[in-house]
Amino acid sequence: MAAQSVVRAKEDRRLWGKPAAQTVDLPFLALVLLLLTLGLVMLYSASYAQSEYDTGYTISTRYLQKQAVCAAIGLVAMFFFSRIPAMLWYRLAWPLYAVSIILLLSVLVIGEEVNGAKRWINLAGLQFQPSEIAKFTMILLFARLTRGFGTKARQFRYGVLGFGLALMGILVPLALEKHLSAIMLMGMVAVVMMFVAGTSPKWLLAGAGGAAVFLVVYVSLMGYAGDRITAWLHPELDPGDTGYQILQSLYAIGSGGLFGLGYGKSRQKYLYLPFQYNDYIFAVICEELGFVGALGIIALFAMLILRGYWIALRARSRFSTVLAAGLTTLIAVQTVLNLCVVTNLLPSTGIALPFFSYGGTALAVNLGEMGIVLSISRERNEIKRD
Amino acid sequence: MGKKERASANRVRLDSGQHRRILLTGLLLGCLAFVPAAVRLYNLMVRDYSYYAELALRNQTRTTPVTADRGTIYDCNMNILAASVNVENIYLDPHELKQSKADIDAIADFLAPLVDKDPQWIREQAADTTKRYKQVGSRVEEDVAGKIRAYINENDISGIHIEPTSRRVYPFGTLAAQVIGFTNNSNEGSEGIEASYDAFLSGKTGKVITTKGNNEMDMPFSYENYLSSQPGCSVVLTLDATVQQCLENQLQTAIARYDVQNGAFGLVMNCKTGAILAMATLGSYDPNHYQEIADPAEKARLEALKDSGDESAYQQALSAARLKQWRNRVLSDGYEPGSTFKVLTMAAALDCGAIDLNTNFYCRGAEQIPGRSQRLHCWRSAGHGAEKTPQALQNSCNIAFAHIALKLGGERFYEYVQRFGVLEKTGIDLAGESKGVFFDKALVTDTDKWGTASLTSGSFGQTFKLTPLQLVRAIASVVNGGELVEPYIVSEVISADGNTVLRQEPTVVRRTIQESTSETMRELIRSVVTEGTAKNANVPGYSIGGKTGTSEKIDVFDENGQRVQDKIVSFVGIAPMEDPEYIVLAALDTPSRSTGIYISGGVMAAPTVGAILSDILPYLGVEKTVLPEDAAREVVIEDYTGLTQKEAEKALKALGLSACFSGSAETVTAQIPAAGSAVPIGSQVLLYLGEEAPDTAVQVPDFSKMNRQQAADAADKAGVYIRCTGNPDADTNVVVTAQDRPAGDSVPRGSTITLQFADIGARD
Repeated sequence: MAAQSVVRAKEDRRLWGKPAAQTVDLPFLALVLLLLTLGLVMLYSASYAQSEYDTGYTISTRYLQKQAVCAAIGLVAMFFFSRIPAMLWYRLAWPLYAVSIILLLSVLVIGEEVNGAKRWINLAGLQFQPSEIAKFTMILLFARLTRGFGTKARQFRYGVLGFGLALMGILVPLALEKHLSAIMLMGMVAVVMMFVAGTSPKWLLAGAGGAAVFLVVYVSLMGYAGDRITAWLHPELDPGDTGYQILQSLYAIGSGGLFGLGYGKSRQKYLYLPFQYNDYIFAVICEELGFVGALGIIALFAMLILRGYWIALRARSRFSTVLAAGLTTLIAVQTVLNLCVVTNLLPSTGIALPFFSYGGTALAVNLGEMGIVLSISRERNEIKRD
Repeated sequence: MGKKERASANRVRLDSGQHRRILLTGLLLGCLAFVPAAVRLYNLMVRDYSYYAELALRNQTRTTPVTADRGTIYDCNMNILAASVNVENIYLDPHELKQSKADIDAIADFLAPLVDKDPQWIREQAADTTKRYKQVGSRVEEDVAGKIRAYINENDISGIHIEPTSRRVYPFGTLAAQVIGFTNNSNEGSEGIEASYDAFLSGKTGKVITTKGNNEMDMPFSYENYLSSQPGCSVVLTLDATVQQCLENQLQTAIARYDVQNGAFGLVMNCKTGAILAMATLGSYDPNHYQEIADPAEKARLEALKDSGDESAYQQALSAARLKQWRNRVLSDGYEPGSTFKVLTMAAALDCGAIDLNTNFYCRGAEQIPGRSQRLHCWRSAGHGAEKTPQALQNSCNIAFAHIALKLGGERFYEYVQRFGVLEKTGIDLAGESKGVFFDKALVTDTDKWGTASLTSGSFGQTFKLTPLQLVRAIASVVNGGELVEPYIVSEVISADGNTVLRQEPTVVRRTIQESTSETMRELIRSVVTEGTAKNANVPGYSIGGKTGTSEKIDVFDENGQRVQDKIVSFVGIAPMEDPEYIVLAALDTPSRSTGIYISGGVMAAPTVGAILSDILPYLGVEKTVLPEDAAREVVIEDYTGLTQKEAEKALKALGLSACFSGSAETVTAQIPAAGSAVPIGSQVLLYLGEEAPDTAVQVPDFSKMNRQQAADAADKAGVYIRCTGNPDADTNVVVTAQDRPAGDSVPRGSTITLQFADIGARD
């Protein structure tokens, strides 16, 4: 116990020192910028037809413009956060967690409805999704708790009850919003973080099993389980309605072939494939860039994720490690789930592809999170200099 | 706290377990988690590429059919019987309407009156938003489509579409409806010429294949492939609209006159070539509205059934009624020919020498024929007495024909029946032909086993069926020199650029009888009209021949299982007999007993055919031989006003009329009847000298069943003139069977009433 507090004090001293002057992890930064650039380039192509159609054939860049603005905001946030010592976030973990719960609950009252779901909030003209922020604050709190629990995380009341209660604080409001995809995403990120923190795998397996049971019950209570499962397993049975989305996605992917139709030459994006510029943008990527291009992008994601965990391993504190691992996990889980949905390995849920899918809040928050990872990457270099 | 822990805190702050767990997580989420998606992508994009590429292409291409112009149907004088006009289909794209947030209620209210539908129904169509095509207006006229187009532009609506198509128009309406047929909603020929010549008429549908974005969005990398359509050929019929009109008019007149219950059918054919000039089945329908039931009584019955609420019974009855009115009975339905068939039996017997013109028969009215269980009755119970061959035909004597059949024998009878084409379809180029039902060969040939009932009944056209067309073709061969022809109704098929694609030439199938037999038969058939049961068919100035027929329906039973006494009366007429050109059949199905007129072919069908021939022979240019006794039965009076009494009297006398003067002035000031009226020779004309003609009305007397003299007297008494048509004989059996103004009507004094005379002694 004593030793632990000594370690923590040392960490604090080192991390709360003067602003870091050391360089961030350049490979990680390069991967982020590369993916962001590719994301914008592909978004332009994928949203081109929809933009033309929605603006009465006058503007082809409607969605690109909005996304670019958010990308700029996100880059500023990334730069700013990369210069903030990670320990600042340690202090802010609880307050931000509280704020995000308040925001999530306020959505239920003052939220705005988009596409039939009440998930957006309008603050001073800025429209954003509190759930995007909640994802971050939950990871932040988990990182803080991990540091606090230390090796006690193996015990049930810390490793399971402690994390579990923190998770529920976010999941309950999300459940009230019926934001199933966010619940799934957060649950999976939480499980990974608890595993990293040291919670016994047997509890995690039990928890995952329990979550699966809960999911089945929840989905059947929502009343559209049968339709969704049928549409997932046999989309061809109802090509005009429930199977439409996934069939159109498969047509896009399959017709891409080995090398694709070429950039900008997707046909499915001409309003055949719904959500072609957000959740299903990867299908357009496949159609235009082919198997080779799609694998290339997957490789970039894999490299980013691996580098993220590498940064986590080299971080100077348990908090930074778990925070970096958590943020990387968030990107990884989103990416993997999105690919699985687009290729119909999983039933359709609304999960965006980081850096690519249209969605300002998500992009800005993602970039901000990458800033934090960069900031953590700086710690290592700082230590090296010592 | 040992050394180890301190060291680890200095170097690496993570316990090795956490280190391992992060490495494991990285391996899982950074590598392994992508494997399923990558494998899946490989399967979709590389292994199954062609499968998905094809599905995607099909998904993105639109094939729009380009309908070909359908050819026109002409009669032999190039009158248009059927033609296509451009119209438009109106359809909704509910998906698009929903996406464009269109005001469905306003659209429904606007469209409803234009497409003749209920607004609520249109709303329901628009509510089915998973569909992309909901037709709401079928074949609307171009001006209506124009209004809809303007509305779409004005209100900037996306989701209402208009597509060009064509509609078939039949300018003559019900005329020859079953022959021409109609096209269904998909512009495919159904029934009649439209069906049997569909391959020529329809042309070849073209198509436009385009790649298109959804919601008709243009795609920059698209291609368009156009396969042009080929317009259909036009069809020229041998049918003559004027002859057809005459046939239908006279059949209609007969239906009204004899209160015919179950419609009528008839046919005019060229004896030598087999070309059909007219072919009618009444009650007919209007192919412009082929779904509607044309017969008012049938329609009322269906309406009543609909109101009764039994929907399935109504639908069944409706489709049965449609099929019935579309049916061309002349070639689709067999019927018992009755005595008209005797022509064939006699021709066969004469041809093979079984009888000659001097063969003797004796008719006692009834006779026990060997091999027949029942006594055979002749239609005339008193019997015809001693007859030779010509009288047997003239009298239509069943007893004589039974003997002719026995002389002929089953083998030869069957052989001739076969030669006459009774066992086969005629091969006419119209859809839906059938061939009737004849006896099995053994039934007429093996008389030891089966008796002679079938053979003898068959000889006078009973207990078997054949189609009217089969009968007419066979009889045509009897009078045309012995050649069985193949009837046809299309003379020429002309391509859109004016080239003849197909020309029908007369086809002789086989010889039936020898030329000399045919010559004999012509004389015999002529004598039936001049001497026999068909006097009512006579047309002054033409040499008409023919044979009557009255047949009981053998297979129609009432609700008690009793055979109904319904009859089909018919007549086959031929003209001119010296060199037969035209053969006419008229058949009336079930004349009503209520008219009091004796139900027989001689009384009802013969005058009908006579009237048809008198209408069409002059039109067809058959030369009229004016015989002295036919010359001037009636005259047209002139205008006598202004003439003196003497001058007028002289003028009238020259016409064979007498005058009756009233008044005392010098000159004629008024006359009854008016100038231009036709009056019988010997009539009296009223001339007024200085007086106005009295403006009095008189009542039309009831002329029914009066003979010629009685009718003249009644007309005189009533103050009207009569015009006599039909049978011209002065025989007492020849009486009025119809008058053109009903008894009791008020008409101006001196009006002319047209009377139809017929020989009611012609009971077959």
